[in-house]
This record gives sequence, C-alpha cells and structure tokens, in this order.
Amino acid sequence: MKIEILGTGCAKCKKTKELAEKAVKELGVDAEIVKVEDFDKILGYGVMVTPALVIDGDVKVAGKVPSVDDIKKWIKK
Amino acid sequence: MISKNGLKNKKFKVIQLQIFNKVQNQQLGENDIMAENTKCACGAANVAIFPCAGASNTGQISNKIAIELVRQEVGNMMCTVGIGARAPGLMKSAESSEKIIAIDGCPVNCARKTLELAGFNVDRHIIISELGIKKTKDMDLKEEEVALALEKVGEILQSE
Repeated sequence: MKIEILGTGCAKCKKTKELAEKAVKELGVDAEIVKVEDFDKILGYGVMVTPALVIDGDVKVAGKVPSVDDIKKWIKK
Repeated sequence: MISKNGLKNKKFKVIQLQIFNKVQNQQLGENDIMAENTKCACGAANVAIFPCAGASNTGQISNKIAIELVRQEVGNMMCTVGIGARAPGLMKSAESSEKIIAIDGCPVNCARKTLELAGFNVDRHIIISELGIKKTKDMDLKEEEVALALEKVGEILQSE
C-alpha cells in the first residue's frame, strides 16, 4: 500500500503525515508513506487545495487534516 | 455536502474588499494560476471559484473573471468540468471549501447546475450576461466588457 501526502510542507501537511504514520502503526499494516511536494504531481491528482491524502492513487481528502480514524477507515477499505 | 454552517464569513468579506484593486495585466495562463493556487489550506480563504468557461463571449469572460478573482486572492479557481467528471481530487477539494462561488456566462447556469448535481451548495451565483453584457459567439473578448464584468462582480461580492 502506498500513502501519499500532498502538500508543500506547512504545519497541516506535516500533521497529516504524522497522523498517517500513526494510523499505519496502530493498524500494523505494511504501507509506504510518501510526502509529495511537487506541484505537477499534486495537480495531476486534480487536487486544488492541500493537505491531501492519497491511498494507492485514490484521493481520500483534500484541503483539510483528516482524523486518524478516517485514515484507518480508508486503509481498511 | 457543503454546509453554510461554520462559514468564515467575516474573513471572506475582508478578502472580498480586495476585489476592487487595480486589474493587473499579468499574462499568466490558467495552468500557471492553478499551479500557484494549489496551496496549503493553512490560512487560505478556502473559497472555491467555479467558472462555466462556456463557448461564448460571456462564458469566456466568466473564466477571465475567475482568474482575476484568484489574483485578488478571493479564492481558489477550480475546474468545473472536473466536478462534472466527478474527478476525485476536484470533488475532495470542493468538499473542503468553506464557500463556493459559481460564475455562469448565461442563464443556462451550467456551472451552478453541475455543482448542484454533484451535491454542492452554491453560496454565490453570478451570471455574466445579466451584468449588462450581451451573450454572443464572438470569442475576441472586449476589454471594456471584461472590466465591466469585473466591476459588477466586485459589487455583487461586496454586497453580501
């Protein structure tokens, strides 16, 4: 599983990455968490506002920090 | 679904005041605008602007107005056709927006209807052809019409 955090490195983006790491740890799943700061890649997902979280190419949230429970729910699907 | 509850109207009004700033003659393309505007939601107005960008002078003026509103930092311009396509990135971006502005070129209201069909509530709706600009198929936009539309849109947004 690949989890991408889209954002330019602000506090909310960093928080989203931390929450994703926490969710992965708590679920004990094997997932690669990648921070994406390249605008071209971010636009490639059609994302207009960050932070955004993408799991295996599917945009789960954009423009807000998700909760750990939300991330866990998306990982389990 | 976008709710009006919890909207940061006060902040939005402050940002709206910037709309009367002098029109800049930058020649950035839409992609440049979007690239510049894919920014963190931290501190951003988080207002989504959806122009119809239709095949008429007023449709194209809606696009120019949306670009200008981005320059004025009123909000983030987003792809209306992406909502029609239910593109996940666009849908999620719109869902997180605190306020949605739809700018249609004419009363067919494609932008507003596209958003509503996708389940979004449009907070402000502007129709360019109702601002004193006749809809035609002439794509060579008249600068005076663009300026008039921008002025009227500014008045509408400030009147809220």
